[in-house]
Amino acid sequence: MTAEAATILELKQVRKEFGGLVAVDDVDVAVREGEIFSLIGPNGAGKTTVFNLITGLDVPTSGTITFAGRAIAGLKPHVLAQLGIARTFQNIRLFGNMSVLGNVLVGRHSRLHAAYWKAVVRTPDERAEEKDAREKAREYLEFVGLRRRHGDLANNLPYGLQRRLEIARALASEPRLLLLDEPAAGTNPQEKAALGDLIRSIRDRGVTLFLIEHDMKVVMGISDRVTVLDHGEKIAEGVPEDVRKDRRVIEAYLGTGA
Amino acid sequence: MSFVDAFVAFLHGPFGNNPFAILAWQALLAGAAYLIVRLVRGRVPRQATAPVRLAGKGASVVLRNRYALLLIGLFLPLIELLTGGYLLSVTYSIELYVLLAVGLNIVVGFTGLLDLGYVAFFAVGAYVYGLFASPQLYEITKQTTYFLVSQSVVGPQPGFHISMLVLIPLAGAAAALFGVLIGIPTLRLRGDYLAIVTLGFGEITRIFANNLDQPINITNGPNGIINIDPVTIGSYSFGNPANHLGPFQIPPFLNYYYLVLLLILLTVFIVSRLERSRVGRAWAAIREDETAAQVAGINTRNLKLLAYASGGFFGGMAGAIYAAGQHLIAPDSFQLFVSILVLVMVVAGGMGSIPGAVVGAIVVGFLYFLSPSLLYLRILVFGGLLVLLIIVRPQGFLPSAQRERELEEKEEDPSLVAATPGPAP
Amino acid sequence: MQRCLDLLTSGLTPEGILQQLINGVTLGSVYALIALGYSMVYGVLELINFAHGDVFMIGTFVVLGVTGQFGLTGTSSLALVIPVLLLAMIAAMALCAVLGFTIEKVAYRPLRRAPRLAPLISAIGVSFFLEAWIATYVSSRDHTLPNLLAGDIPLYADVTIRYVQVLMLVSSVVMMVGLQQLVRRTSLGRGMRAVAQDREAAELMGVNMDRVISFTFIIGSALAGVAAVLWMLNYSTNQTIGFIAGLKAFTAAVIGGIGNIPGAMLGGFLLGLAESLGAAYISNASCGIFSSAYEDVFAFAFLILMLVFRPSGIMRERVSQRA
Repeated sequence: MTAEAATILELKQVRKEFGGLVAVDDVDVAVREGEIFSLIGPNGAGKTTVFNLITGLDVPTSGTITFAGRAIAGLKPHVLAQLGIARTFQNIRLFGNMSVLGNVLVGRHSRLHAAYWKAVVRTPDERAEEKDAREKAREYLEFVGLRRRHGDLANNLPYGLQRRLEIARALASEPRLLLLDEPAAGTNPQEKAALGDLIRSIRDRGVTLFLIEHDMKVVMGISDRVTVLDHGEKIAEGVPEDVRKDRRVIEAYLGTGA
Repeated sequence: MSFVDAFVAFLHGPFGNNPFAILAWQALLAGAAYLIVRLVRGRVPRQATAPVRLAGKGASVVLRNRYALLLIGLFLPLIELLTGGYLLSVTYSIELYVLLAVGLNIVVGFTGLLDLGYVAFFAVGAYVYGLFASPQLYEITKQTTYFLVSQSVVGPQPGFHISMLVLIPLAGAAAALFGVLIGIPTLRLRGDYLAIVTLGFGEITRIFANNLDQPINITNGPNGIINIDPVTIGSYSFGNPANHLGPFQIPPFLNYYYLVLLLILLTVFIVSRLERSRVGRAWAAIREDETAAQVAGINTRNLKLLAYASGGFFGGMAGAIYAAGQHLIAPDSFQLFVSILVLVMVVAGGMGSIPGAVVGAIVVGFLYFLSPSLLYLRILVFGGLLVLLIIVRPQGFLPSAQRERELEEKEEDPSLVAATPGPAP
Repeated sequence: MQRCLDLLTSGLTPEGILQQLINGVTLGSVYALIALGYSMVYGVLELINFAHGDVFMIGTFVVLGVTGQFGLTGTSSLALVIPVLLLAMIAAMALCAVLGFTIEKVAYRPLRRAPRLAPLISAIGVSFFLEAWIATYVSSRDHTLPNLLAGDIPLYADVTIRYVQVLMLVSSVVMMVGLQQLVRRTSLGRGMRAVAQDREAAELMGVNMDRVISFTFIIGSALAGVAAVLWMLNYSTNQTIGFIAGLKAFTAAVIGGIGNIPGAMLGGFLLGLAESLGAAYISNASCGIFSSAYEDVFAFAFLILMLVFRPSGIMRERVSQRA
């Protein structure tokens, strides 16, 4: 990929306060189309809040967020999904009592357009759309390696597979930008390696990835660029090699006894 | 001494009317029952209970089979007629509750919005039907200077008398609109808080119905609306007790019974198709995790309102038919208890499952209507059974078959059955 | 229009308003005591104890029973009235506490890991059971105590405060201060606060959940027993009183911020004031459109508005959760 790739997501001077507590402090972030971008920082650095702001779960106190040339701050989450932003959650949020396939089908919701009444009449176009949705959902399950478990309840999957299912659900909305919130949390080294492969192959499908991680090691291997956040403030940005050597980064991580 | 009397006397105990004596006696009974259950559980070998479990399983298979249910539904009243017809009115009441339970299941079971004010929809439907199919609206206009309805709108009696083909869906639509109006302010609420707020709306609706005879008499206050038209098709009046089919006299309840049965079939058809569509999936997603559902692209506001509206629609239609069948409606019929009873049916059947709602309504309905009809004792027994039921079987008789539904297209993948661990890619 | 304005101003005298304020505060003090039960249980279990109002209702019938047993009348001497009332209070507290403890054990504890709806439904079942039990085996009519401790203290012009009102106010404030100390100072109180903050962490730190929960129900129900005595000094009861008084008390708990003890007190006073002022003036203020038949509508409307717009109560700053 070239360094001149267009910017797909840009946060400018984004700030979020919760009743006087500053969670995100005037952060600038620019994610380029087609890259794997990582935002890292210690716990409590405001990373998840950044994702909540991008996906519309929170509204920034000030600043602008631009996605594909459009100002998106304050838009509703489902509108953002429609525009092509999908995400996973740090503490996996699946629809536990639905099947694995059902979860992915829900992820596909924003790409289905048949009017609701058509579901009652079962018009041909509605049926075709549903059939297509199921096929696509199976493809995504295949892609993350869950094809054979599509009938299980999401709650009954082991932890590592739940993470993958959450990714499949996000992919089902055919996002242009996929936000992964600490995808490696709670996984073993073997799973971590497999996860790296999965993330790369998602990028190869043309999806831009934006990761937030607590664990430096995980992202250094796969990221094209990295930004380090500390106490809601950006302290370093660049390719992994440079960031790793940055004095402030080392302080933030080692100085606080990490 | 009838069985009911014996039961009442047994509960009352042998120690007179002192509440403490009665309490002591009942505590003794409860303790004894508990001990017996403990002992039996420990002593009886598992094989001995096998026939019971098998019978339960058989019943469940029959109840899950919609054709079996339909067959029962079609012929039950005929059997009851042959045996005297006493049970017919009970069966008809239970049918209305089936409709209500299927409607409430959309809100509570599918979407996970705990609604304790569902009776409001029933009331709105009943009052809409009552107003437009009785002299009441004409009475209202007589008191006001604005003649909305002129006296020239005359049927057999003055007032509006609109065909039920228009009026029943209209009552449903009014209740659906009411659902949206209640839904809007409560969109942000979940769980217990939502329960309390909907309970409040239900009570407010009833209190208004009870007091809107002032300053303008709309609902006729506590006395309610009287002289409501029966449902008629052409010249056939459902309310006429002199209808005959050949030599057989057709009681009014039988007419309404089959009308409601038709409506139930239609409702179950519509609701189960909605359930299997992206609408149903979105509802389930909202129930499971609202935030994740939003992020997955679901417009949770619209879909929650759609759930309230759909639930309201079916509840409103049930209310309209209720009004037609009774000829009169009064606020007292729309107590909180009705909401609770419907909720119990949904929960007892298994939340989020349509056959569950149907079966729950039938079982709980018969339990309730056939338990000693001394007003308070019935509620006493009912309250006790409710606690017992939820503790013994919190998932209901026929729990939601969500997984089975997803698999229903008979996917030929044998590895599904074997609990193979996921592939490590 | 002029007629409406006349109506509005006719009843409004400073004396009238002051009298309603006094009545409101005393009524509110009872609501506050019941509200504490809702508030504490919600704090610990995040469950609206639907049966709590009915525990209070049972308490009122215990008070009726005890005072009836000793044949109290309006002319009984203080030397009889005071000990009997004390006895009634102890009996009501004890019975309510046992009842609250039993309800938790029978109807909630087996469902602690069940879906959230389950305990709510069993609570509704208990509530119906208790109401129907009283109606079946005791009475389904209205009951009042004879006018005990008659007499009043003149305050200003013809505004007075009755002895029973003073008693109600003083006892409820004493109870609340006592509860506050109990929660602050004792180890079980600390356990309660820990569980309310973070249940899992509290359990990991070795807090005995079962004991804390039982304790919460016992204390909350005993307070409902005290409330029952105070209520009976001035108001009437029947088997449905638990629903109405419970509803208002719950509203009070929400107004003050559920889980917040001084908040419940404030919420109770506010609601009591709103109710007595509303009942006195709403008909005139709305030009006769709303009669006092709508009293419960206002209580519900108040509750709904609070839950929708200010679910964390009027005292606490709203702190948004970080996902």
